[in-house]
Amino acid sequence: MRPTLNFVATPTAISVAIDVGSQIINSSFGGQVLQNGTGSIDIDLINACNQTNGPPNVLSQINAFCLTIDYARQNDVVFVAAAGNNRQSIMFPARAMSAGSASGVVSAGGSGVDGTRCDFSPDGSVTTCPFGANGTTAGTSVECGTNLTLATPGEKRQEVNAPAVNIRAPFYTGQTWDAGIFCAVVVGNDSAEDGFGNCTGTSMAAPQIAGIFGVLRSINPLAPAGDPEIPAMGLRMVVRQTSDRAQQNLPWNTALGYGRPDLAAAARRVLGTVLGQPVRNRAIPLFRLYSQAANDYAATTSPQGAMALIRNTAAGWVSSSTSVPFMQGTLVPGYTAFPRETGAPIETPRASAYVLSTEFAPSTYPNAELKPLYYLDRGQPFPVDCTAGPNCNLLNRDFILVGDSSEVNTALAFGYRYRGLQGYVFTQPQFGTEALYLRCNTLIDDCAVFLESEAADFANQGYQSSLTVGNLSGLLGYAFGTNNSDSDLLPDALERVIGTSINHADSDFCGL
Amino acid sequence: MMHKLSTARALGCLLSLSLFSHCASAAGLQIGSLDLRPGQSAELVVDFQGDGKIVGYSGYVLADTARLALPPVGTIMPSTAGYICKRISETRIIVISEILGSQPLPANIIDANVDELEPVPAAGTPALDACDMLDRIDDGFMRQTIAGHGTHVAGTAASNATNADGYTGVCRNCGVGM
Repeated sequence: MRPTLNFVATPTAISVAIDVGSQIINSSFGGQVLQNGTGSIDIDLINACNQTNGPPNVLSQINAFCLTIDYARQNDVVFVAAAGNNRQSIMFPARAMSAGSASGVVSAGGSGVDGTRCDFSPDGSVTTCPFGANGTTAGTSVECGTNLTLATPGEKRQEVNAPAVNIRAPFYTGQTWDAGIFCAVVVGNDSAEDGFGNCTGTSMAAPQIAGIFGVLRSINPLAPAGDPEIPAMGLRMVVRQTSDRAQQNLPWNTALGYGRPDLAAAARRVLGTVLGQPVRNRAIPLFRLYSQAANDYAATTSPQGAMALIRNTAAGWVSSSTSVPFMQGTLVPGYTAFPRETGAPIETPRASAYVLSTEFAPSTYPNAELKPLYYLDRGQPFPVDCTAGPNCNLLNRDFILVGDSSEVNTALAFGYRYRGLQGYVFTQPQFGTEALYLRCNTLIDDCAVFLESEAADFANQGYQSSLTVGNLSGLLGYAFGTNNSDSDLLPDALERVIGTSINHADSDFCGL
Repeated sequence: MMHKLSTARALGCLLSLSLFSHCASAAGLQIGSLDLRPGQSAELVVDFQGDGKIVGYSGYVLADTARLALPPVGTIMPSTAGYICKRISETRIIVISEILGSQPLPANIIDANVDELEPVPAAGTPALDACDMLDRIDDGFMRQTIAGHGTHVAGTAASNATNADGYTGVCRNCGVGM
């Protein structure tokens, strides 16, 4: 018996994931009949988020899920969901249509080997079509294709598709096809012991789509998710306009949606071109955030990550302040607000530096080496090991960036937790850059990230120790300042990276 | 053993769709399109420089309380009640339950795969592979056969290249929370 979608735990988990700064949600699951006690609603055949008829306890659970989807939209989190494998209509939550938005969820359909709809009942007439372990021969699974958009006006539309047949990815050693999850198919000579398995279904299509949005968000964290049906530029529109079908001038399709994303084309679109030449990298703002309660300067390039700190009810980081040292950063041209849910604290995005978003040397610095910035944090009482009392800060936290994998391991040994990659910096000094440091004030258990131009002032505040003995200067690499010489929409950092003039407002940039 | 797709092989398959050529002209900026054939992975879907070399790496997703140092490849991470993880069979991605407090987890992809949340109905054994975000509630008892689904999904989305195989998901620099 297939496990039932848990409509209580899942929206809770998703909303928490949004709270903590997730930029993309991938939902490789779906439900058909929602049951709660004796009541049930077949959410596979309705626009669940507009549903008003049914047992109240079931409706309330649907409502919770729909609110969560809308919560993701408000926070500009891309919500990708597998369309489902039951062939006749898109499954919830992929079929959910968010309030105030044409489509709050990216419905990811599956395509087969030849790029057409993944469907093992060619005439579409069989709802419980045969599907064996190799995807072609007789079996008993009802999961035998990708769902498609019903013809009903107002129905959720399939958005994109990705390959969904026998996709190879990490899998538990020793595991083979399990009918309970309609997923893994170890086919042919594939070993059950190699740590990889071939799975079939739109569950496998969705994470490809999610990964695509992950790449695009990495390139430009400020780019909004947007909506493929609304002609304002956003990542979902980029994916639509660069898909295989778009490139062939093929229209939207009930099963394949706008087509299979072409990540190369989408990435190039997000990076933009300058004078016809594709841009290879992008300068993105490094937001500095500060919490008095947590006694912490944090640095992140992720708007959602910044909001996770800002909405933290216990420690409430701020992005700018006139009463806190070093919190008068530079406004980000054209980016005046973090995406946030209604009622969340309002903090104006301000940059403390600009770093790079891809690992590839900009065309303007063709020989430059880049290195990553790793994001870690530690929460421990201060003074360390204190447990209570007016002088014991249980909210003490320290978010840091380090620029070397050995320093990551050192920081891990110090009790920091790895959180992700924030961007890249130059390894060596480059024209227009200055040193970026991580230096610590050991007296208050905090480390901060700042440019050379702020180093003296931070030293006066006690930030002058290195985190690791292997990097006594605390040098992370070389990054850009926040000047915008020509006061256009492109800060100098971005102009230097893409090759436009910092002194002349430039209108030919066509990236996002 | 997983055989790493050679660059040539990957390019061949991408060229078969006539899409790769569309993007190969731009000064070393090469990113494949999605063209996964049966038995292929998302590896090399993103290969900016066209040489199959993954520059930099995305590291690892770590548990909140376990304070895990990066273990040797192939290490099965220790498990404790409620915080259970497993470094997936010598692969590159560590999928671990993440404490869900008010903490940022940037560049996150989450697979709240509730299939993996099913308690083992009888004769359950603590599941080393119970790396699910709600596992902390369920105390780590799961059907092992169910638990592979989210791993597969997470691996497709965001495996990174720190492992010997070099297998990567579509977004190798994305962090993963499950």
